[in-house]
Amino acid sequence: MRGITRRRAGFVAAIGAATLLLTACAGNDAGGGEAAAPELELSDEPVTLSFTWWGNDTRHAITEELIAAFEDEHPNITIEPQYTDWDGYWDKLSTSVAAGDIPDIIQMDEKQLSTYAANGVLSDLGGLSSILSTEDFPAAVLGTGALDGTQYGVPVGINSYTIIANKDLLDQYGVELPDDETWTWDDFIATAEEVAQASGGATVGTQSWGFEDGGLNNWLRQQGESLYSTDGEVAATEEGLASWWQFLLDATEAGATPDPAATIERESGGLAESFTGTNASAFGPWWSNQVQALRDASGQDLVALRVPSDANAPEGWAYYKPSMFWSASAKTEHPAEVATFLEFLANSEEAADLLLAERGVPANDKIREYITPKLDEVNQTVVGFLDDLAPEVGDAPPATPPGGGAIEAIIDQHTQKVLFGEVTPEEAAASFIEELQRALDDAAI
Amino acid sequence: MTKTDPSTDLTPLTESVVTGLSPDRVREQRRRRNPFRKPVTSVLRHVFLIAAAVLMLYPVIWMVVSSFRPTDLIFREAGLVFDSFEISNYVDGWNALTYPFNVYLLNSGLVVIGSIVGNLVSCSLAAYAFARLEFTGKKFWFAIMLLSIMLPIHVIIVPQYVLFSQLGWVNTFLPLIVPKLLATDAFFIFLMVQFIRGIPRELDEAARIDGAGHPRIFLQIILPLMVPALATTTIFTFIWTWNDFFSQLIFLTKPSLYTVPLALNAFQDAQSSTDFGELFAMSVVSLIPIFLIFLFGQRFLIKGIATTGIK
Repeated sequence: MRGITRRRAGFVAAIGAATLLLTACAGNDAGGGEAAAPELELSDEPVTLSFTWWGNDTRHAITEELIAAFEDEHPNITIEPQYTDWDGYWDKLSTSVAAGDIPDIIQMDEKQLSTYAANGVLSDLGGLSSILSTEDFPAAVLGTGALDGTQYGVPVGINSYTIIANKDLLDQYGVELPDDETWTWDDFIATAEEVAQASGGATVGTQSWGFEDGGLNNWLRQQGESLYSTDGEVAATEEGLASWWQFLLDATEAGATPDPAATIERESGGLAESFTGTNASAFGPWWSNQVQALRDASGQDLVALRVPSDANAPEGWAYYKPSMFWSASAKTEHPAEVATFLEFLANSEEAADLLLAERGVPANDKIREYITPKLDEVNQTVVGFLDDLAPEVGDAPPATPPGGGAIEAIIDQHTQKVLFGEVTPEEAAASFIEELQRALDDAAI
Repeated sequence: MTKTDPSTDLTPLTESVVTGLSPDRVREQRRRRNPFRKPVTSVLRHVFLIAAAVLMLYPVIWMVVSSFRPTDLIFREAGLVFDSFEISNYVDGWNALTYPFNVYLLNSGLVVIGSIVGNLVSCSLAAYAFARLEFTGKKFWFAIMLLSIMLPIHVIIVPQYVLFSQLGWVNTFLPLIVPKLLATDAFFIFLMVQFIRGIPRELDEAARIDGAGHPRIFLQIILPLMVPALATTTIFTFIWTWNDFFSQLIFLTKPSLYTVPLALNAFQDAQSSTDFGELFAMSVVSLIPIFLIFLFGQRFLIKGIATTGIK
């Protein structure tokens, strides 16, 4: 998570612009699959499909097993894997898309989905419905992969924003684990301060945040706002944004979060070097699918807690975020085979046995039920956490509009300025809205 | 091109004749050239230099030490103490990806060798033309060539990709090697042009009088004299290609064709966990060829830089 795209944000933006220009001419014929789902015929001839994803070596190994299992079932289909890490992934995908060389099956991120869909790169999955079924997915989760009623991605896993607490550290300093069903932001900050003081500065109360859009989305929803409107504009208000940065600033000044310089330094190190990952903080905001990786990094007892909320927060502010999507190329020559593979990935127990929760807790209800007993203890608690949260979960926030991928760099930069006192939260709010809206407008041309 | 170094085997008097300086001046210069005369100063200097070297090497040393640690301890106990000696990172890392690591080393090796041959042949030919031939618009083309040094790869990668994709070359090593055969590394052309300009034209003219044409002058006169420049080109091409990530990322998609930088990249993902132990272990492995080429090549490298006017 966090400012990963930052290093290359400039370049990705440049390539993105080139992509837009090139595909704008080529892509117009793509999205028009509205006419009733066509019959798909599987070919008897050998078919080769390319499949691209991002991840680490564990994921590469799992996915290759997955491909082998699929190829055993469908001897005439060959899946060619293409994998890289998160940073390289978007550089590579935008370049090959610009050249019209689109991989048949694409692992997609929520922030990029609409950009690629709007440029006619992604296939309307409704057109594959004679083979690919999506009926086991809850509507609210499925909706996150749709744009204007057209389904462009099948959600893979679901996540929720959480506060990760280090139980071992809390025990060590004799601080009680708070009740996360009722706690408010004030309780949270007070507990964090307590830890920081009890440790005499050895441990940070809570890791600071504000370097990606998850925390902001949650905060805005608690204020009854949302980051984007359904018609793809920035909907967050200056008051809502300013209150968020004010909160982060107050937490820093109160000593609950570390000083800005330390925060920024750790921020660039990724998960393994984070305060949470190195057992240097009692709390930290993370996505629920990162619990496992954090536990591996820290080696201590980390538990996921619900995000605090104030009394005036509207019902249903919590939401499930899809960890990623399966998408298909709009220009694939073998839609039937692509649909077969997607069906295998999204709905088959065989695939679930291999995938487990590595790409997030499955979004497919039936598969989640099937796989939960087979997961290890940590992931079972994560599933439990997500299931318990279900009654609180409202509609998914409006999808990130095309161009919204720029938000990571923008948010990161504004949070840094606020924490270092270069701008006030109000100034940051105004300039944030302006910059984000400009990114959306640029993409919409 | 005799290799006399006047400071080593001449008396001050003889050297003063050669250099046109007074003998006193020569002695004075020699004293300056030899700053380590006083033992105390010498020791201090060395202590300082060694400390600076260790400081510069710190990240590398840290990586080597960490590569022998279990992954979960690397950031939790991030010291330089050699407290554990786990060879398992090397064993596991070698086989952690789809193919064993030697496949990636071999792929990188192929790309590197292709690039070196390409650069040596094409850049030396182009440099000879710019340095010795007269043709229309020579200055103009030379300026264009220099401008192309300043083009960042990000500007040209999309058109390049479109071109190679239509030729059906994506997923082969051709897009990485063939352009080198067309003298696209302008930096090396510039380097060699500077070098050839330093070779006396009288040598060419003598050869011409003996009846040699351009091919012969190039092959038998210029080429043997520009060995330092060729060596510099070889070493830099090696290092730059070995470390090049971006163009290899874009043009190679099949895991069986992945080069070392792509393989190392496959170990990590900033969104989830990264097996840093194995990553560091394989990084150490991939540094060995670079280390060796520096070790054996630095003699040429320094000579090349000193004689081409690029300082």
